[in-house]
Amino acid sequence: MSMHTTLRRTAATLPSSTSTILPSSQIITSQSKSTTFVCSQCRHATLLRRPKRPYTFTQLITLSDGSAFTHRTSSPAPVYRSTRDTRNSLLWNPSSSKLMNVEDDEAGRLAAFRARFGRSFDASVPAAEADPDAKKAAVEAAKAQELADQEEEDNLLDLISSFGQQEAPLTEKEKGKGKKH
Amino acid sequence: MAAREPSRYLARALPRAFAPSARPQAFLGRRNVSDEAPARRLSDQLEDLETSSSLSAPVSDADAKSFDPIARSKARKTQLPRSRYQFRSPKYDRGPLHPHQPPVPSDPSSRLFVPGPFALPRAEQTYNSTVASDILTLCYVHTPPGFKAPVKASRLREWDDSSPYHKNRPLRGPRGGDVLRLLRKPIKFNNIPKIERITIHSYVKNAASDHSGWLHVAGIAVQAISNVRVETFKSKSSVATWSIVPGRDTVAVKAELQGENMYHFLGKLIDVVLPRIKDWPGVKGSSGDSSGNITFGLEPEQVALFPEIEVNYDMYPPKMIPGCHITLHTTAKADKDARLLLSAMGIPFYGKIIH
Amino acid sequence: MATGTIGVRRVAPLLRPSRLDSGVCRSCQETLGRRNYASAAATESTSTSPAPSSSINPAYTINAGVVLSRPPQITRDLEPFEKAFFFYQKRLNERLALPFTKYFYFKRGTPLDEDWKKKIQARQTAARDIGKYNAYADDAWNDELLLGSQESEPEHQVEQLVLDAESTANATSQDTSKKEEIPRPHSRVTEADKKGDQKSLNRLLPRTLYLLVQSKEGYWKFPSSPVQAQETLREAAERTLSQTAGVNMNTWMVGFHPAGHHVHNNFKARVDKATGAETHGEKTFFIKSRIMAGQADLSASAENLKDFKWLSKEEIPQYVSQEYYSNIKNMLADR
Repeated sequence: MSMHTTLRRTAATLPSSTSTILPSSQIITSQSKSTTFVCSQCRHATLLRRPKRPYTFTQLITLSDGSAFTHRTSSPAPVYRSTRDTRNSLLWNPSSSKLMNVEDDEAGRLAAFRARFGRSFDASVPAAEADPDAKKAAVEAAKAQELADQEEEDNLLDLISSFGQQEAPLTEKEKGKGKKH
Repeated sequence: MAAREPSRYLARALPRAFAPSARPQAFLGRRNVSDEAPARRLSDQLEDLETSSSLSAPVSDADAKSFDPIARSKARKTQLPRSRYQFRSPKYDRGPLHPHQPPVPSDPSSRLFVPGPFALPRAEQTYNSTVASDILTLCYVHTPPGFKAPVKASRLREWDDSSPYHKNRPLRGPRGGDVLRLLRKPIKFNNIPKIERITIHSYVKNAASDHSGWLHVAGIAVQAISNVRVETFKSKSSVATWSIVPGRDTVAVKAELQGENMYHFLGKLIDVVLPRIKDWPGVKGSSGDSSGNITFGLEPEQVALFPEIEVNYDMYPPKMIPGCHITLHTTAKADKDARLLLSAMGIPFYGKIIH
Repeated sequence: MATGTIGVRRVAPLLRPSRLDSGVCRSCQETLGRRNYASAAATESTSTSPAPSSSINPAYTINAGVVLSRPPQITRDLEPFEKAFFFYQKRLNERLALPFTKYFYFKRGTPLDEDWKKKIQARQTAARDIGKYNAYADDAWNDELLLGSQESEPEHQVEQLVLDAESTANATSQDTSKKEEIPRPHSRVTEADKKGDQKSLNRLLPRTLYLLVQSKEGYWKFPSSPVQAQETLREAAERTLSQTAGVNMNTWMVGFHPAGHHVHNNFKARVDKATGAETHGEKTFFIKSRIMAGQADLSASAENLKDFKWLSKEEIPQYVSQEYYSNIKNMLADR
């Protein structure tokens, strides 16, 4: 309303010289009736609150491959050693063959099977990976073929690989297995 | 008062004008860069600075070893009054006209001062050294010389003046909703998207129906993982099944991370927490608010994987650790750019990527 | 339809005003041509026929270069000022943050709690990396480091953390015979740094390294080779990389656009005897690339190359000519 809202005014204490800067004489006359302070807009004091922050420590994080870094944390443990992180999880290392669930083929049975019946089922394996597999398969196929007749292990892979050749011993073996269990 | 001021300035300025000066007086009214006083030039001011840093200035070993501030202060016969060496900021801000002003918040003596940063976070260094320049190269769009971008139609529609009341009406919004999407400008060296802030938000539905302990536990858990005091919020909407009444029940906690805290949290989240989640496929490719902010959620079991909660897991009441939503606010104007930035920082995305 | 657009593209350069032909590449001309159909049609009668021979016989050989870089592997070394600043802020924070809530983390009476109490008595503060400093004591004003003290060094702070973890493990473990050893972080300086082996990718871990190759004539450059017909710049860059440095690398090309270019002018225009075309020099456009794994191998390289090195930005000017460096320096990262 008035231009001088920040000023505190009382009609009684107003000297006549300053009345010229007041917006209108009407206000003075209306104020002169009341003896209270007129304060249309005032500035109260605001409390300056100290920001509250939790206590933080410096922590050393050691990742699974031995790399380490420090960060600020609320945990009081000085060192955190992680066993599972971006360095050894499959989602962050999609091309790492170490982390993929590659089936163990130590005895060469899988290779023997592939050598005998083709490898159409793992056609989706990328070529770079398939090549060493193929070499390995060729070497081990010969060995595995000789061993296949002699070995009598309760191995599902063995059963599959020797299915076509020896029908009679296979059935015996299966029956024997059924009795055992 | 206003009438007095010019005379005061004049009184100050007059002796200066009559004082002998090296400069020619003819151009007093005009100021050019070329006839700037030599004392004003920046290079001359820099001459006052010491050339060697105080860190490298030589100090004799004897001086360094004998210097003991505590002993010196104890040796004084009369101790200095506290006010001589410790300024205390006023507790209240009483407005700009008050004679006793509080110092600015960046002043360590201010009550609002927040110390920091305490370290140079690893995630920030990765962004600055590698990610930012790669994004700039990836997002470069070549405009051949002489190329003029086709003029696009204004996004706000005008009224067709079929009615006399259309005069001076504000323009209409676009068709199919009044939302004006953010304009995506070409990415240049000065608007490479970066992470602005991270919000951790947790909605605790049991806080209304059960007891407030749920809210306290959620607040402590979020504070522990974020290093930031949380804010609490009341519900805005009514959920009858959880007996939540808008405006009455405090149901949510939120922590906002910026600067150093944000980068520490991001590094911890990416390197330690997310890989430990079992069978986690990544962040869904369709998440995002189409203006460059990506949100994903963590289940309570996943929140418990944070090293800060793991270290004293027993102290949290069983089953009361909250799940939370984590929003990564970036300065990118489109989700596509935000995803590019976040996947460069190490957050995997899965599923159909929606831009 | 398709043949129609191709036809239009072929005709477009003929219709366009000739001023564009001089400094604008072919693909850009097409972009401009597509925009300007209407205006081109309007100016058809006035346009003069440009010289198509200039675009067929470029006066310069166009090369595709690869800036293969290894990004920084570790955080950078802090400046002395940064160390001092961070340390001082930590001590300020000691005074201003909420006090550590001990009983939320250590249950009363447990060995961990006893150990914690003992350590707090010794260092007077919960933090391990700010030295002995009590923010609530009378002499808390004495928070500045004295000359020659080690507390602000990051190595010292990490050592303190590890020592603390070791002593806690020893104090709380059941059998006192065995000493717990917590592995220290690896050194920031590697074997290759000490030996000065500039072929190793394990050198200068906090810096970006760039692959430079040496030609048979003895000058150093980024790997580059001429772009062949019907080949984009990106494809040419990929081919260049596999031809020069072998396929035993896991790399990623950053985008399809060059990050910089270098123009080399010959003293005299060279004339190719077979076709009779003149070349005034070569223009090399560099595409940025990152190496993820593997190592460069020049044994199978098709180019005439002698040697390669992994160099940081500061080392490159010692090897390349001043003109070359002034053209490439803005592509290289500061760190």
